[in-house]
Amino acid sequence: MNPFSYSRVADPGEAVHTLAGKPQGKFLGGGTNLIDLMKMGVETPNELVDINRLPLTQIEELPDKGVRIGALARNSDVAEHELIKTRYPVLSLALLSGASPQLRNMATVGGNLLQRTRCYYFYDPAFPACNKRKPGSGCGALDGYNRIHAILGQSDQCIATHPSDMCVALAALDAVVRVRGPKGEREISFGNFHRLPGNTPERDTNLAPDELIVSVDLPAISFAARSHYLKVRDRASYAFALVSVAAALDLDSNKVKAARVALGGVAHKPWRAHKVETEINGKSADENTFRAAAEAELAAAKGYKYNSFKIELAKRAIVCALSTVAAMA
Amino acid sequence: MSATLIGQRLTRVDGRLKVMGQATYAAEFARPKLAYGVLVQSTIANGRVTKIDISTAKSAPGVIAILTRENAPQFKPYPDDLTKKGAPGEDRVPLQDAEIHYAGQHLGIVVAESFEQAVHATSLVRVTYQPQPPVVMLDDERVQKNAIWPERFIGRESLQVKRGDINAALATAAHKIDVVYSTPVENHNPIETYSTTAEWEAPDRLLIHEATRGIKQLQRIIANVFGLPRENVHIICPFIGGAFGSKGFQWSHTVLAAAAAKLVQRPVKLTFTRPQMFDSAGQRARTEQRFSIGADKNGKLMALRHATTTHCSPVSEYTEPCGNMSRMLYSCPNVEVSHRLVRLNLTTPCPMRAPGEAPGVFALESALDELANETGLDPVEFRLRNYADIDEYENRPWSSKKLRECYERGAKKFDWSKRTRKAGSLRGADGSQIGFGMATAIYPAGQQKAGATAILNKDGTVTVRSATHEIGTGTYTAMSQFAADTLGIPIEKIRFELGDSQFPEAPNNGGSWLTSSVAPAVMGACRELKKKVVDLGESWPNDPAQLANLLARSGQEQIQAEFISEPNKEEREKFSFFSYGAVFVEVHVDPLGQVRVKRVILILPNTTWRCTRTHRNLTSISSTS
Amino acid sequence: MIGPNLLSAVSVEGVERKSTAGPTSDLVNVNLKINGTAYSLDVDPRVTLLDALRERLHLTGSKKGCDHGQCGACTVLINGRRINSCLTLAVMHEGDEITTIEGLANGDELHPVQAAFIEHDGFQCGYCTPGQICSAVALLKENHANSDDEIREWMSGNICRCGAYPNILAAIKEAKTKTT
Repeated sequence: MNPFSYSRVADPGEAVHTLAGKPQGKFLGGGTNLIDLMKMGVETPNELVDINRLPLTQIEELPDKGVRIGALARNSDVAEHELIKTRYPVLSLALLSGASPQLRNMATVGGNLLQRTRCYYFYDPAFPACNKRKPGSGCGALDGYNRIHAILGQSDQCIATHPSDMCVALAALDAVVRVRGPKGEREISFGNFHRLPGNTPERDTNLAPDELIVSVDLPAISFAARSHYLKVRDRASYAFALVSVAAALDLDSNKVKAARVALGGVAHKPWRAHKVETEINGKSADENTFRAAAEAELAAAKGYKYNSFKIELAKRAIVCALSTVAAMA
Repeated sequence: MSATLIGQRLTRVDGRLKVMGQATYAAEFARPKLAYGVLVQSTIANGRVTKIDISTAKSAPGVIAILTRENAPQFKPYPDDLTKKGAPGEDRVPLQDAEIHYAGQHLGIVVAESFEQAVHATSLVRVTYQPQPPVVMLDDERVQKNAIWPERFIGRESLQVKRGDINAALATAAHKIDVVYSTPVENHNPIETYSTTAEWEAPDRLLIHEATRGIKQLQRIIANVFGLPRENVHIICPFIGGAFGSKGFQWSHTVLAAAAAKLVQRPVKLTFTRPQMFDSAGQRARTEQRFSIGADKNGKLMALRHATTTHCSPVSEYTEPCGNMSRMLYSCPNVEVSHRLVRLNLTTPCPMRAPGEAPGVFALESALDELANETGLDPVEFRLRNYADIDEYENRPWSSKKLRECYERGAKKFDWSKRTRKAGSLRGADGSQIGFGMATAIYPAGQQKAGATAILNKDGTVTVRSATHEIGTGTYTAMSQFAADTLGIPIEKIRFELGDSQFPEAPNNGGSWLTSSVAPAVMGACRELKKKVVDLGESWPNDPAQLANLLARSGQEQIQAEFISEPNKEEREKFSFFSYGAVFVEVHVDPLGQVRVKRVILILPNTTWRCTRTHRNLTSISSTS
Repeated sequence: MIGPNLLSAVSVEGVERKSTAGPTSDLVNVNLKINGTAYSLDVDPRVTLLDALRERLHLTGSKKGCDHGQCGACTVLINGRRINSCLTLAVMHEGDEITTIEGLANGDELHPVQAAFIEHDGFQCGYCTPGQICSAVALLKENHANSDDEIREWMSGNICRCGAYPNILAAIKEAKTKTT
């Protein structure tokens, strides 16, 4: 780990001010990913600003019946909060399917948004080629061991996946990320928060280096109470998703009135499955409808030597998740 | 021997230490003026080092010294018997040449005041290489012509075996299959990583706290490398956080820590990172196993060919001995077992938990199932028809074999008769495919030479010592039981000590032979101790208070007895020694392809367990969903 | 560091490391309350809580198994909540109450979870055991030990390489009856 200077801040303004104009500085939240990456030599900040004492841990109802989650709320507290469990069970389930109880006690919501890929070639600097770690150096995964890699939205510069479960649920829920920078606050819609790799895979998000995530706001979605998160992974617990599905359905008898579907483990960002949502809208909520929609969503999917299985797996997972939600009372 | 403790539900004698965080593992001994070492490793897998630039690193904060090939002392070679002829040790001491054989190879050690400073300074070392393309796959054409056909496994079992006429038998077999199974590289990954703390107590005396399950072997290695009398190297290891075959055959880090300690004249601690457990701790090699098996129309095996291709590294010729059980697990007149070894630029392989048996019997049993299916026979029935009543390879009777009864009891307990033959024919309510499977379990029942000392102390307690190991299998508890039973005194009055190279010789902890080797030595030493007391004209009182009085009467500080036990050579030559069992499993595969093992039943012959609580732990398999 | 064995090995001339010799990490003072005892430490901010416990304070009951938050051997309780002490810096815990395996027993009297681990032989090598026990103590407080499956899921952050899971499960179930 490189040497760095360390300071604690007490309010968001001070935090933003402290790191203003310091591209090599970083905010330190739960630390579960940043400290790990610093141990691996992937992240090398020269200054850490500890934001753990900022008053950003609230989970509260908004006037429009949405819910505001403070950026420093711990993953475990969000997952177990009554508002989340009853109104957005998909978010609670997604959080509880991620990491371990210990890590969920440490990890913050803001930090979870900024998790970096677990692509082996990114995580180990002994591999020389990684466009995300070292722009222009190439992609070791393209012709390497790419079992965990992307099948949608990738570029020939990067086929890494976003590792978060929570973000898959947030993508389905149309969350809004509130951020604060030296010039004040702004809002970023969830779909615009994370990026596809394109020619700039080194940029995971549209957050500026000197901006601080303040909260994540969930809009009121009445049917989100009827939602589910399905995660398929190599172990029964404590593993990243090979494929995951966040799904919510609004049904009128057996007809789909509205749907929210997002996929994890398949792309550089949480993948909102707009095609699935459009395809099943107005149709009867049955396996044939779901399968056809899954086929449409995955039509553009591209597999590599070791991950092509994900294409069929994603289709089956979409069908399974939607069927589960449809069967809910 | 009175069986007062054997088989009782004792709790572990070291249990309290372990649940209180007081059991002390290798990295946890506080030493004065301790410095921290971190390894410099190769980032290429094949080639040469052209330059190691330490100019930036050596001026980093806290750095005390950096040891590389430039300033390394000349180490003497490792003993031939541990490195040559298929032995698992690397035939190469570190830092004596510029060659790179695999990624992660040790190129030096950075020593600093703190761990954090050492890690950072290591990242500042600049290594320049002249790389060669590495060869890392078994089927790479570049290494085929230099393939090795190793003769023996660590100088012991033959790796190339022929019996009968395999080709003729295959040509006339009514049923036959030709299948290939491959198994991946496996890493031991005990939860405690390797750790060495080396310190020179005098210019010619070395003290090492090390996570090792080969204390006496490591003592010999290090003495050899540094040209010291063996007794001048003192190895201590009271607890090991698991090994699974590792912590026995890699010595480069110990040599580097000791050399670094000499350089800085302070104790140096070197602890592996978890990633280093994949490149510096040995591994089970990848295997590719081809079977050609034939049976007659009644399902009697007529021909069995088991051809293994596996790999070693450029600096060792250790072979994963996949075919050893195929020589004799089933009755078959025509057998051919072969092993072929290619050199790859991968970390040096070494034994890992059931070396050979684990991948080899997996493949053999899978192949047997496929042939059973071909012949239309139930897998249990197929195995019964090919039951080996003697060891047909050694042509010797078994020391004991109750495998038939294991099959029968297991099939009954498991409800094996509910198995349907057609693949995919059994389905669960959730659409899962359900499979029933079974296999034979076998492992050699080995024994080695071992020694122990028993000492009657002033307070009437007895200390028993042997340079053996506790990897978690319950050595402290089991040996305390054997001693208490032999002496007829309560187990609380026994103190069993291990993990010290100054104690009597014990073998490496491996091959499932620890108890069968060390227990006879412990019991022997205890019997000798009793005899010494009787020789004083006393009777052995079975009462610690009276033992204390007895010792006071004798006028001696303590009474000490020793015993060395050896395997019964005559019996070992007359019989074939293996342990057997039968395993039955139920596996579900759901529509998403998720595999869940729902039930596992392992049937072992009825026998007396030394401690049923520990035994249940070592053999219990849970039903998980 | 070299990562897990992957299919392709690296081969390049002079791999560049990212690090450069930069400023030294100035020592930072931190006050920790560990098992009821107050400690004031001046530490390099790079020191993890785990390394502070093991290397500075010689509280070696908390184990380093992976140092990457993947094995749970380093689990300790911070203000009553279980966390991985390897992925948090000591300086982040100013004023926090930290409980390690050394702080669970009441003198000679073992915590019910410790006693149950002995009774059910919930370990072999013992190296993961302090982390398992700290994790289980928190699990019982969290009320996530209501079925075998729930216990397994909520203990999944603690790996036992020896595979003593059935006995760990049995120990936790017994401890639950004694603590609630």
